Amino acid sequence: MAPSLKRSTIAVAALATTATFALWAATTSAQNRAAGPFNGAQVEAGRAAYAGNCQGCHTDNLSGSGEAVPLAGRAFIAGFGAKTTKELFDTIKLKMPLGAPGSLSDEAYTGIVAFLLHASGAATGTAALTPATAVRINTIATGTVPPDVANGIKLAQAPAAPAAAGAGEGAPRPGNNRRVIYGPDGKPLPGLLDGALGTFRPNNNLGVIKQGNIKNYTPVTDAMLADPSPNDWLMYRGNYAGWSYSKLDQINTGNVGQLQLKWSLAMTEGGNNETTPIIHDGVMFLVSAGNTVQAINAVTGEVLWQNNIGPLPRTPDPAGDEATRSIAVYNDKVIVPTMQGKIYGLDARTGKVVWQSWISDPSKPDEGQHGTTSGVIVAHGIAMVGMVNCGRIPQQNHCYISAYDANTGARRWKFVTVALKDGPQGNTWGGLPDDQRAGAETWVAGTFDPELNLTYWGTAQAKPWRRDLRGSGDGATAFANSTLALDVNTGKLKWFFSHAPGENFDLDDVFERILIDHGSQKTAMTTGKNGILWKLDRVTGKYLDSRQTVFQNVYTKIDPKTGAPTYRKDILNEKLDQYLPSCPGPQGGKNWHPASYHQPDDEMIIPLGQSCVLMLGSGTEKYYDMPGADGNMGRLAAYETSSMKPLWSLQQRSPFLTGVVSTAGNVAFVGDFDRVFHAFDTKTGKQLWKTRLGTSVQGHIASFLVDGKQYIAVMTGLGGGSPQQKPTFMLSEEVTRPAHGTAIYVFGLPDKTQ
Amino acid sequence: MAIMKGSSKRPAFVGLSAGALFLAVGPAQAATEAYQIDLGPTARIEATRLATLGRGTADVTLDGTKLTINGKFGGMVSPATDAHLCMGAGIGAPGTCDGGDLTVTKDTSGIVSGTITLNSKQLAALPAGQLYIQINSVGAPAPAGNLWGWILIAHEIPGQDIPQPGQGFLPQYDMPRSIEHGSTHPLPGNSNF
Repeated sequence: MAPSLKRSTIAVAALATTATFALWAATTSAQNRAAGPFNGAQVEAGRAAYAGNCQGCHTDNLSGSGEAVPLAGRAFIAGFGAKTTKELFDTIKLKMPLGAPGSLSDEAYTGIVAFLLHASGAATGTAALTPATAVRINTIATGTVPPDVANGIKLAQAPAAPAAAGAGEGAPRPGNNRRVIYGPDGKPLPGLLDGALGTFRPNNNLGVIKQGNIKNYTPVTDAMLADPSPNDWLMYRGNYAGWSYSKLDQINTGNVGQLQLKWSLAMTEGGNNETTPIIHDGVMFLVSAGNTVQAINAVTGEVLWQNNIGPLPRTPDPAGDEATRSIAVYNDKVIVPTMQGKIYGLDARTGKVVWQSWISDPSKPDEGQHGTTSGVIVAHGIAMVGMVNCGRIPQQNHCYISAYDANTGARRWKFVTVALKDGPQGNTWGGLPDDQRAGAETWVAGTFDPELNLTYWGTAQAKPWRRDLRGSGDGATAFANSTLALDVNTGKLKWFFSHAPGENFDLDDVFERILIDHGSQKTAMTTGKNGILWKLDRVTGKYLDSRQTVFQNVYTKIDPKTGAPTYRKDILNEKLDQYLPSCPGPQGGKNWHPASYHQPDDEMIIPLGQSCVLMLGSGTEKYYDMPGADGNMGRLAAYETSSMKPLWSLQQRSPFLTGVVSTAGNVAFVGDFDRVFHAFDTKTGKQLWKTRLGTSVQGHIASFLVDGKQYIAVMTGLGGGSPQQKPTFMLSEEVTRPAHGTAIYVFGLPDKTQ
Repeated sequence: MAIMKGSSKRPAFVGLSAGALFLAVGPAQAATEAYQIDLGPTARIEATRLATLGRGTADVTLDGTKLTINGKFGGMVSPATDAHLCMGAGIGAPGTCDGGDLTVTKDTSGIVSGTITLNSKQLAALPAGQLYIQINSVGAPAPAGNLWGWILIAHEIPGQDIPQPGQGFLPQYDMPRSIEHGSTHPLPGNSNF
């Protein structure tokens, strides 16, 4: 590449959001290149095929999001510029669409390649691209994104479908979460999977399809939530402090080996299953794909009522629709946040919708079309939820945490998790304009300290992942990858602590904040994807301590006084076209599966992951084993939280995919990728019991008691991001899992032993 | 797979005695120091995943400036072609493989061995975890290669699901000096880890 052209490309990329300039740049840069080996008809066909099959993840301007790498601009050139058009064709056909690789026609794939070349500034020619055409991409594409792509590809939106009776959402929301995209003629665009056309209908109807009335339901009060009965599992991680600990001890180290299945129930397929069963007075409230909400007799498994809020899952593909990690109960309501950007209040007795509100109102420019997977926590009658899918560049409506009156659904407040240019911490993004500041999603619900009236949330990293591509320099990118302490009544920020200023590798610090008192010192503890266990003063946000729980090579040290990490030198000097190693990789040393605080022994038991990545500036990844892990992707480790002293650890080939729940019986329950549900001794880590379930054991575990008998509920499921995708890639030769099998299983002791 | 999982006890006493001596006389005059390598697939993408299968282990000793490697490997899907000592930025951070040649069985399983006299840069890189070895194969040639493994301080491999007291082995850049990371050497005074 000629020096002058290289400088031009870099300058153009920096201003890519200015449509006029981009148009000029596209024209001038294209003049320096030969016409591409594709024609205009292929570009348009590819645009439509992209919209139908790729846009949901890679976004409407090809800027990528999360695991979906950018497919336009300098990031695309960094990742694919040295490859040929044939290699690009082969790569896309081999891997895409997600969950159904190779399922499109060659014509559709060549069209997509042609559209991607156009989207990175290649000049349209007259020849027809074929699967065998092999032209090096950086000889025809400049990296300049033309306005018709930079501003988002424009296609007609889906016609609104009539809402079914009692349903909150009868129609998919176009452009969000890989919904069906319709062409100008009102028909679904070609090349779509059957599932995307909506032919997968696990439930035939929307709305309350099973009528019921739980007449003896007892409203859940603030007092109950503040001090939950051990018989119930009233919230996401058991209590406000996020302990994932049960005070029940009927099932213990002496008899856990006798556990037997009491009942199971298949859950709606077609999406991630990472949710939490909520149990109150012997009734289990459960959500699954398609926003299917059920009330179930927790002893017998009988469904008492069922509301299919919808939209129905588009596909049986487990990597399909995302779902919430928890619902909540408050007063006489079941609170259900959805990936479609709404939050519902259902009548806990009947399942009927009482209220519904937008979390992300598409009619408001500052809100847009975001969804939520975080789950929900209710404090003092205020239901708080996080937000995801805020990685698009340009980002016009940033992610926020928002709060709603649990009785009426009225919005109470919202807190934007990206520091805007003219606001507090606005100077931490390297001078980037607001629309270039993305990420900081909140995909795990917070915890709550009633005494301080503060809620504690973690945030995801800034987007794009790599700081060189992001353009934020060495800025800390507040409030990304931080712990936030917010006032529950107002949403105002009390303090924040940045765990990974200017993060670079998709290493979120978004997970649960566990609240533990050490004498008079009130702490908040969390472990991020980098595998570092942090301890903060939760009154002030001051750094107290940290501990490495898996091998990491991203930081060379952490300041013992401030907690500020020092990045490896090659990270600070990174180049877009350079693969950089990161241990842990995106699987995470820790991920969304919460740790348990086994309170009797001041012991935190953490499910951990072990794998590494080589990451290119574009986000393209190569995976490898973590050094020192002996090929084991799963690790379970226990720490005394007062001293941060490691107590025990064990490793296994498959990673753990549930949170850990420990009980007063000194048993820690956890499930894994290879379908095994384990019980370990909390004091030693010794395995006490295990069983094999239908598919990966995934989600959150609950312990509860009805009529004097203790039960353990656990789910199987598929879908999800890196914690599923990385082991699926790395263990596929030795781990066989059905691509379905989403279900809940409830275990208990034999009747004679209780 | 021919060489895989299972308990493997490394001679911890070697690390203890070597570590004590290391502290007493300093790195320049250290006597035999024990290290080990766990070989696994190199960084993979979908297109190369099946070509990079295999595993292995190696015992490593440093005697003065002589680094001796004795290992075995198996489970590869194409024959090994060559093996080398490599150096990167740290544990798990690959770099270049021009540190010296090793002998390798030209088959899908066999041995990898050799003695290499380390230069001063390599001697400094060893305790920093920057040295590793890489085996290339017909199906997974250089530079990406087929198997690699970092030279880590000798440690116990307990096997799957076998709990270890403490946090078990956990390497780090300063791993030869850190008792917390499986070595028998004291923890640096101001380390957070």
